[in-house]
Amino acid sequence: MGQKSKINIVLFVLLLGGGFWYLNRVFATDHKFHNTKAAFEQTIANNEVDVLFIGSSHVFTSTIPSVIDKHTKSRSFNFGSDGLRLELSSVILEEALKSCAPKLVAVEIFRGSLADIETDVSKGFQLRAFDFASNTSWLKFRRCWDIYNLNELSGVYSPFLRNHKDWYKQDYIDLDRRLEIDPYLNFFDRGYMGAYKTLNDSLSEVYKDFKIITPVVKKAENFIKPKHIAELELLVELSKKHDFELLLYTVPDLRYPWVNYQMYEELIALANKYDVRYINQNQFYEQLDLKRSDFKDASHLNFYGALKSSNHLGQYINEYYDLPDRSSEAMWKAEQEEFNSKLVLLTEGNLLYQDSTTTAFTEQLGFKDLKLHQKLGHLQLSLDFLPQNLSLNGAYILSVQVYPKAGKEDQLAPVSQEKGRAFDNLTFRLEDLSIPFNKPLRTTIKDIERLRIFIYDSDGYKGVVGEATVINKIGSFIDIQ
Amino acid sequence: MLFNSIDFAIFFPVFFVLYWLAAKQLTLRNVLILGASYLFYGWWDWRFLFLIIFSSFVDFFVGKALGETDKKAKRKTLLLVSLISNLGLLVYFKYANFFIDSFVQSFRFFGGEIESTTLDIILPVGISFYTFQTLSYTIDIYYGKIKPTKNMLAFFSFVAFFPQLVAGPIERAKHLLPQFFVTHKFNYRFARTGLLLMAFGLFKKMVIADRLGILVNQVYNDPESYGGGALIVATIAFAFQIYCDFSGYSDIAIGAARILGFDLMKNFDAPYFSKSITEFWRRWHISLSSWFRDYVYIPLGGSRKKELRVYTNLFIVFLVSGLWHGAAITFVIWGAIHGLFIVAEKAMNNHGLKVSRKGILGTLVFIPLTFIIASFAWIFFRANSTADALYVAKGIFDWSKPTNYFELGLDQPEFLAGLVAILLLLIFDATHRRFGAVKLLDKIPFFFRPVLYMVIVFTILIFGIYGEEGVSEFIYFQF
Repeated sequence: MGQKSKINIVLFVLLLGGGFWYLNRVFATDHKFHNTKAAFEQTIANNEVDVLFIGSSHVFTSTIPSVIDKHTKSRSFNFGSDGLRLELSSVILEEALKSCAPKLVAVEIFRGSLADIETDVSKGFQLRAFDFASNTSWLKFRRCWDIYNLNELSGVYSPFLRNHKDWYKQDYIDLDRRLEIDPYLNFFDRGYMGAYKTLNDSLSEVYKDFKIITPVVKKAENFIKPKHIAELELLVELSKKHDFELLLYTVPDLRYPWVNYQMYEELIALANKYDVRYINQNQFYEQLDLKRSDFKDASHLNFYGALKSSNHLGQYINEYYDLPDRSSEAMWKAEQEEFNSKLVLLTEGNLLYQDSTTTAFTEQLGFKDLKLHQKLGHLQLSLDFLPQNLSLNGAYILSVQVYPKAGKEDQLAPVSQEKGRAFDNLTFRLEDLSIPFNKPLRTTIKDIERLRIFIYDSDGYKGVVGEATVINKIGSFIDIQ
Repeated sequence: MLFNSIDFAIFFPVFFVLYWLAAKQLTLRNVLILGASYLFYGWWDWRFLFLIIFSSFVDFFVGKALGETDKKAKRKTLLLVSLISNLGLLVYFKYANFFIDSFVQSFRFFGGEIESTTLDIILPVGISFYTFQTLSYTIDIYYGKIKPTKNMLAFFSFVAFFPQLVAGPIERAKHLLPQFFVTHKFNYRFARTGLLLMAFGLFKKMVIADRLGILVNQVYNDPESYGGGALIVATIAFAFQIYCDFSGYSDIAIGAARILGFDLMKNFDAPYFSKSITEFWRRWHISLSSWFRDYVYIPLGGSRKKELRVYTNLFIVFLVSGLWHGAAITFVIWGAIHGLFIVAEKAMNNHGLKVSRKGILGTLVFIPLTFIIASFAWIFFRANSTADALYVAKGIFDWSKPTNYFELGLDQPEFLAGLVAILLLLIFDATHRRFGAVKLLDKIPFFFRPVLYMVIVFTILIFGIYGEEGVSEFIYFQF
């Protein structure tokens, strides 16, 4: 073989490698774990990380690192990933350990994380963790070998080969595949991503008895299978090798009363066997002061629930684990300050409008003490109906129309734009007026010109009942980007 | 094992390394080839390996015995043993049900009633190819064209040589067998063209054939739901699908063999640039056409007989060729259409009606005309039944149903990608035939070549149909 041929082969191999590197980025799917990866790289570039949380979407919607840090005075990071199964925890951990030396690793376990990986959806969810891990990892290979078929392996190892059929849908220039997080809808904090929305009324009704814990008869079959025990043993082994402590935990889940208790009993036994702690937050609903409005859906906390869960977990970690005190570090203080300012804006809010006078819809029905707040990312409308002892049983619908300022029509919701409306329309069925009205207005409009509030018959819109109220001179949103 | 599968992507590089490590020791190398070939075939169903071994045994010993005797009667008996064994296998596994069905249908046609029971038989992959290859060895010995080999390992390797085992080219012993008696030295240039051929074959298969296959399957599996426009598009798409599928396999086979230092015969030569059906068959599936010429047409008397007999012989060859392609009446009709056009062209030439097909006019008229005839015949090849074929043949003239061409299984970008790929294929075929692709490649500055190779690889990987949709088999595996 001549010199030129050798150069050709070397050049070809280099180009092939470069091409794969580039195309793997082009064909990577947009998802939240890219935000987590980017946040992790940013965090370890500037600071040490002392606590890692690993688990499913339950983890990334319930454990807020800044809240944990407030209690532990250390720095934590949340590696929660949609649909992650227990056996993938070590894959994420192994990769994370290459660039940080945590003192505590908290691994989430619940019934879903022990489910078999059989469906395309569950296989697909694991790819987020696999994409995070290096392709040279032996552990990654072993897990892939166990989960996927031989003809799926090339796609598992390469997003390009996996998604090549979408060649005409890709952006070949901008390779950033992070999700665009709307700070007015979601809160992101070092891997944590929570929503402000609350459980919808029908689900809230289904889970109204969530505090009633009904023991279920034990089944003969073990929930925790040998592969899960092997994973726990591997995590224990890693904890000894890398000198960190291991904590197993389960976060609040509304479906808890329907989940077999046997799994938690098995977990407690295993935790005792391996001499690691296990905390099941489902046993602390009263202590956490959890309400149904703290849930985003049946199995995920929203931001308000996550605050409660994280405060509880932070106190627990602080009580049982000895972590470095970073509270005197400038970076730690800056992180806490930034978080607290957002928290104030979320809990206390930015008052955009207030009117304590009484306004009438009809001769029989009116309201007073109307307030409009910016609660971090969204609008919150509160008012007291008059008379307060009236039960309308859904006879009327309260309609709130939010108009954007001139030139800001692009902030209208897509559905309003499609219908050619000049406003976003939010509606609420009026039931028991003794409960003060205090609801988020689901609109994407930030530059508000005016609000128009009125009621109409719930059996169909036949025009405004009584008078509509128009609110002008609304204050400005504080930009939270 | 399929060439376009992850299994082969692992198998071939491993074999490549072992092969070249053992290349200087002929016996070890042939043992490796035989072992790898049986593994390649057995990956699909190991039980049918016994058929290849049986066929190899029969022809090795028949060939040996033919070489040891001059007695005509004994030689004829030996040839008959080979013919009965190989064709017996083929008839049993491929045609048993067809003959049972045809017999029952004929009986009913004449008013009889008969209980119909078909056999539960799986068609072994590639049986039509390797039985023809082993038969040609024995027939050539019988006619004294070649001497029998005494090396059983070399012969078994020749029969089972994995690059061309399941879908050809159908090699002749005279060309391929001697290559198992010489050691090969790794030749970069030879290997490079082999790799490029493999890449081009994969492009044809994965980018064109499997993409067009989606459209063809949708329309041909329910032809009555579509109008003339869709039926024409699907038929043209099938013409390119089958060409790219089959010639793609041949390219990969020839390329893989070349990387190992073996030379296989050319199987396709830009057939859709033919100006007549006669020329089409000189360029399409060359190894099969020449097999039928040498072992069916010539023994029937070839062109030395009277005119009517020659036409009959030609027609018989194409009927048999149709039947070789599949055990169904649609394949026989496909063969008959080609036979009719071949006979017609021959008759015109014999009676002074030879049309000049030269020049630009010849190109502009006869290339499209030949393509239209070939495509029309493909209707019978592809249709799921004779009734479907007849419906499509009529339906292409019915334009009353509106057609949205991007709702035939391929959306707009995929449809356009298919068109561009076909255009690239035609440009390549025309250029290669005129100038030779390797010669052109040598003219490219050496440091640009890796860029070209990379573009080829990524074009296949980006635009190819594979992965979750699964690896699709080559159409000719069923023949």
